[in-house]
Amino acid sequence: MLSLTAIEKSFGATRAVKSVTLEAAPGTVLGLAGENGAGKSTLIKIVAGVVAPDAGAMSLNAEPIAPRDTNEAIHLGISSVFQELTLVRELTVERNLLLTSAPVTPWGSIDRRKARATVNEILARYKLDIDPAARVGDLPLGAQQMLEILRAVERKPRVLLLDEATSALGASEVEWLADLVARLRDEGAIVLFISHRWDEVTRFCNRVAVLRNGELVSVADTKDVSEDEAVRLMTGQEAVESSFPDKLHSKDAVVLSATDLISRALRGVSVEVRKGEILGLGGLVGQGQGALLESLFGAHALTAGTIAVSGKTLAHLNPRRAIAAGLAYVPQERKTEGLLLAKSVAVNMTYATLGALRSFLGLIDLRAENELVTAAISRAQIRTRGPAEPIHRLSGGNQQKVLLEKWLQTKPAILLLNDVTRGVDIGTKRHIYALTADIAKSGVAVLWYSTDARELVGVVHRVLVMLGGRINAELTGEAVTVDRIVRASVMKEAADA
Amino acid sequence: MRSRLQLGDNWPVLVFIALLAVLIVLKGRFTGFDARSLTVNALPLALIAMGQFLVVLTRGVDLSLGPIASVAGAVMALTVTDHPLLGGLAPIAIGLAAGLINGLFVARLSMPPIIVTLATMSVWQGVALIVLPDPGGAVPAEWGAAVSGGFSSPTMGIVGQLVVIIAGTWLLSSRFGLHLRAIGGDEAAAKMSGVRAVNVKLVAYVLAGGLAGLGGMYLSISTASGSPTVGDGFILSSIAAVVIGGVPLSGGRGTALGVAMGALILTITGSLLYFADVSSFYQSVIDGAILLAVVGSAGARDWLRSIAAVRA
Amino acid sequence: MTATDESQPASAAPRPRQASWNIRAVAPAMLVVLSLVLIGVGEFLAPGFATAENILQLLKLASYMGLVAIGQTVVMLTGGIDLSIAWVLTGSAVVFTALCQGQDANMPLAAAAAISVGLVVGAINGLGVVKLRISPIVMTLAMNNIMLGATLIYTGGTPSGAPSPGIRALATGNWGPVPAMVVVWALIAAATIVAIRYTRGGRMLLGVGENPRVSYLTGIRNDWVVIAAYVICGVSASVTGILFAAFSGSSFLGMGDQFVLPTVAAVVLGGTSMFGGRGGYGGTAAAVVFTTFLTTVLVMGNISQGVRNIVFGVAVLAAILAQRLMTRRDDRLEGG
Repeated sequence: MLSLTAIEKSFGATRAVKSVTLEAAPGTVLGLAGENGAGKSTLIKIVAGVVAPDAGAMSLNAEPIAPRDTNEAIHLGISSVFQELTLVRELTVERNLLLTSAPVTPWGSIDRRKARATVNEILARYKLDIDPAARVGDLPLGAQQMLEILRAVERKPRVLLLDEATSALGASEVEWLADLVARLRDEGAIVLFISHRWDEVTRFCNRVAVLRNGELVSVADTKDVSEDEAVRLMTGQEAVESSFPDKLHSKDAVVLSATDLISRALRGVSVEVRKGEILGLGGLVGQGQGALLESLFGAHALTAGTIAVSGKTLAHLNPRRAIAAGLAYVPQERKTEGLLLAKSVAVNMTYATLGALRSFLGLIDLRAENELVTAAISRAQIRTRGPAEPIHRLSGGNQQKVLLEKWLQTKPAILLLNDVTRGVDIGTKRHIYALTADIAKSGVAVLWYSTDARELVGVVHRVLVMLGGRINAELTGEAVTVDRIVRASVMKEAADA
Repeated sequence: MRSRLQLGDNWPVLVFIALLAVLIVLKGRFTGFDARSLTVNALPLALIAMGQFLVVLTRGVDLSLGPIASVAGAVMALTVTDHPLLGGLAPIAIGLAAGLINGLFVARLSMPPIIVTLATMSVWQGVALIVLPDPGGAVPAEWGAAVSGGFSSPTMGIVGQLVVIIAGTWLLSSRFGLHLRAIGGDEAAAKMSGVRAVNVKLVAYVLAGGLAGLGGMYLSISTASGSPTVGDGFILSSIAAVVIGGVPLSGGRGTALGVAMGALILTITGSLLYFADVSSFYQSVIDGAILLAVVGSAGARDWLRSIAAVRA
Repeated sequence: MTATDESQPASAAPRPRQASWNIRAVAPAMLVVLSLVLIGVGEFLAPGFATAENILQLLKLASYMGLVAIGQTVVMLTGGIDLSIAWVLTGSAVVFTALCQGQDANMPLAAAAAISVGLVVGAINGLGVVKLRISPIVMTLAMNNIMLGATLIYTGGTPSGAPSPGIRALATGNWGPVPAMVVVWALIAAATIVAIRYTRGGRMLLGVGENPRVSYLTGIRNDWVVIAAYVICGVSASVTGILFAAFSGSSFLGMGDQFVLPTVAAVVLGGTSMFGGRGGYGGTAAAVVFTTFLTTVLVMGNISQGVRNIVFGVAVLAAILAQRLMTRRDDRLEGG
């Protein structure tokens, strides 16, 4: 019996998991379902030892457990598979599978014959047709993911955690995993399963726990939860917040158009954004939304497709050329992609527009910089001790405002926003909604990816919902509802299937 | 990277054989004495480069191996005449201890290997100067005969090279070797898969120090004396031998045979210049150029390709 | 929360220190204090050490190291390292004296030729690091070897010629009571500090060094910034070579070797992060002064070259250890 008691976890001001108490008996395949940010991934990472809970207790078969890292969790009988792989891509399949348990000859060398036999036996037992001598990095992503799963299962875990482990798998590979999970279940293991697809949850799990805003809202047998019921549980019944500005329609000219974009993460995506429009981009995390925004900004390699601004095709796009063409991109990873954390508010805010501040001998006009930054600080109500304060001392919300102001300095014609309200307080969110609406009204085309369906419903008039590197649904006007977005995020639209 | 693999991982062997053929043509003959001097002269570099190889496999680099060899050689030259046992063991112990210091800083405290080993390089250069301010000391001739087998017989030199290659290959074929490569390939993934990365890296630096100690010993034995600066030349050449031997500095890949070939290639270019009647002044230019050609080829190909793509 | 609940996360992730000193702000000040202490020690060992005249002479000695360290600081701010300064400096000095032949009339041309040596080598280093993706350490070590050989070939093993009187006056003479080199260094140092902090190029240098990804997404040409850093380093080594040859009265083989480790040490001691992007020249300059005083005091105390090497190495290790301990908190914040 795996039991979690009053588990609590906050990241900064956000309470990601709110006092969750949950039990799973041996032989349970428990699906964790919920929208983005519902806390399911945080919860599973706590069990896996990747994230330490702020409060609460866990026990396995009545023994208290508190793994501090994945290795400790493995010793406790908890094996995990995440979307990010932990195989060494440079090494062969055989070496990866036997990394810490390779058979050795009496003189200390790895016994290659025995190792090969062992690996062949393992691969055969799991019905995998993979060359043991192949370099893992050369294998298709699906095969890599299957090896990762195989390795986790080979440890004979009492608890197996699968966090989006099916994201890279094809249909037959998902069946393979389903059989494997069923076998583990019959052998009395506990499986916790997170998937972005509701049909997989019903296919794999005999129990399902629904989380919303970090709280556990329901635990039930999967067969008792209908599709509509699941969507209702995930989205909740609360009224849409009234903090959103009026939605904008735009019938102006198309300024940004992308056609048939194909890359590692995109499988043929076409988008058009009009002047003065806020176009929403939705779906569950990792369905190609970030790659789409980055490719429009020239920071994600495309194998095919064209991007045009105001009818002019942009060739050999890179961020510098994109900025010159009037694009601005506010990345999702504020701390690693957006800000120079060791630098001041002022340095960060003027980093994209240093050329405009040049004066005598190429020196930066510090007075002009100071005025400009002070003005932006008061306009955006950024809480800081001043332009010279190191940015890492600011709260997440205020950092985000600095980042937005940095890009507004470039006076963009097209603004790409990558989940800019994630992890910021409600006050900053409201500010960003109002600001973005103003920007759009002034004629800027905005493409806004948000992991929060409610936010999209409140802000945008048209939403593209992505699934598996494609646009799964386009919702317009009255059709933009939380239910429709969540449904399109997890269930393939009939038209596309 | 890929095209080199298709050529076979043994391309350094081919390069060496080609250079050897050129040498034989230039000289007109190849005697046992030539074979001896080549294999014996290349042996200290092969030893030190093998240590560098272990460190490079983990994506590190060790600039202190040359000066460690200086200290080990100096200690040997000062003690071995009166205390053969001490003189034989102390250099290796010094090397291991020096490696341990590097390892503690790099693996335990996760500090950048370049700066750590640059600092310890200075420390060991200083220690060598204190131990042996001027070249001197002595190593009895029996030692020299024992390890290099007289002046005309290539046997001991070839045996020495084979021992280095076999020992290196054996070490790499062990679980330890596998873990070294796993760490160089992807340290985070290796850790998540249960590899004790800190300990493995620590051992790599310790062994590298020990091998540098052995290399220093060998230098003192073959010159029958010690010198406080004898190891300085190995700071670059040990890295060069590893890289020319087909090991990327990004870690994770390479063979002991390749590294030994790297050492032989660097040694044979000196003889080639001599017999081609080129001034020895060109030696360091050529060594540097070979090194850059090897490490830069993959990047150069990608760069040219990207230029071509933009033009197209 | 119960007591056991609290202990779990605390053991999982070490708590950040409450008071985190900013080493980059503290290091230069600490070095100035230590330098003053060394002056006291010097006065104790040899009365008369602590006179203004003597200190100015020591600063003159420090100025050469200080000029090369400009380049090293700039390169290390990109997260790289330049080990080729040894023979770029020597090669430039050799070219300078050979072309100058002791004539002031030849001086401009000789200086231009010498500086172009650093310019070209710096550009090659930069291109190798950026475009061929060769690690800075291998790239610059190999170029150092190539320059060593090139210098031997150029000189045939014996450097010739001499610096001209004009440049000798600059390198050895006084302007009023102050050695000219001290004035020159002070001016260039001030310009460098300002350039790194308050010009567009300096901002880009710090930005690319701290976070190439952020800089790339801000439209900065990262490649050109890094190449420029190596070019600046090459040029600073060349200029130092010219002035050091003028100071010495001739050029000689190996004259640049003594500058390599001390400049790296000075940059690290001065509080510039070895991962790039944080720091500046002020700390480096203070560290150059400190290490010059330290060396002088060690020499006065009859401390051998060997011990000096050891002191140097240990000082660098201590500095990076201190940096590590004090910046751990920042790194954690930023890593998460």
